Amino acid sequence: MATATTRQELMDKVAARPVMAQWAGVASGTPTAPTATSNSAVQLFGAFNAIGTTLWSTLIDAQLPPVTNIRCVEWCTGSNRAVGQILVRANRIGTLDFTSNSGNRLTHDSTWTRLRRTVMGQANTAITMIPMVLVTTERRRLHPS
Amino acid sequence: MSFGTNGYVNQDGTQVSGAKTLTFPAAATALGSVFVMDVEPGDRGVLDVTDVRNTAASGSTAGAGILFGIELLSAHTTMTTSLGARRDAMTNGLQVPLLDAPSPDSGSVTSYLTTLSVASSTTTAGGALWATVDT
Repeated sequence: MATATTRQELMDKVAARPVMAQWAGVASGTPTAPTATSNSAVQLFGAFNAIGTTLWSTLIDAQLPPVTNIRCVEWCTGSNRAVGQILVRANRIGTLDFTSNSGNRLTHDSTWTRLRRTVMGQANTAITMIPMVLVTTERRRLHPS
Repeated sequence: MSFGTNGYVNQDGTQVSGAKTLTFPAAATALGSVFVMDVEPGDRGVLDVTDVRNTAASGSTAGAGILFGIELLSAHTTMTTSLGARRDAMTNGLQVPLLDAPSPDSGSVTSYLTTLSVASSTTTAGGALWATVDT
C-alpha cells in the first residue's frame, strides 16, 4: 500500500478502511489526591493499560491494530470520566530514586539524548515534551506538605 | 523536587538549570500519582532531562518513580459521565496525530500510549475509543 502524502489521500483511506481501537485504562491502587498546598504543580491521572497485575511497576502499552505503515488517529472519543482527557505518548526518560536527597536522582534510560519524528513534513525533528513524574513506589519524606 | 543545576534541555536545545520546585501533596505520596514538572518561564518543554534533585526541605526517604516526556496527541472532553465527545483529528488541526513511538537518535526508547486527565479526589478508571488509519 502506498503511503499517503496528502491529507486528501489520508481521508480517502479513512473512508475506505478505518480501524477501531478501544482503550480502557484502569486504576491500580489509589493515587494521592491533589491538595491546595501542592503549589502550582499540575497533578494528573495516568490511565496506563491495566492488562496484567503489576501496575505501576510494569506498565503496558495500548495495543494497536497491525498496519503496514505509520498509524495515525482519525478521531478520538471518551470516556467514562467527566473530565477532559488527552491521548498521549509517554516516552520514558529514566527512573527516579526518592530514597535520598543526595545528588542526581535520575537514571537516564539507554543512550538516547533526542527523540525524533516527522513534524509538519520535516523528518527527524527533535520533539519537545512535557516532563511528567509517575510514582511507582510510594514516596515518603520527612516533612509533611 | 526540582531539575537542579544541570537541569534539562529546552525546546531550543539549550541546557537550562531548573529553579522551579515540585511539592508533593502529602508526606506519603501513593504509587500511581502523576505530576507535571514545571519548566522555567519562556520554555515550553524539554528535549531531554539530565538532572532531577530532591530538595533538602522535602527530606525524601523512600520511593521510586519514572520520569516521562509527554507528547500530546489528541485531546477529547467528556462533559458528563457516559456522554461521548468526539474530536475529529483528521480535519481539526495542522497535523494528523501519529500514534507510533518516536525514534531516538541512538539507543532505544520505551514509549507508552496512554491517556492523561486532570486528577481529582476520586481517581477512577478512564478510557477512550479511537479510530486509526494506516497511512
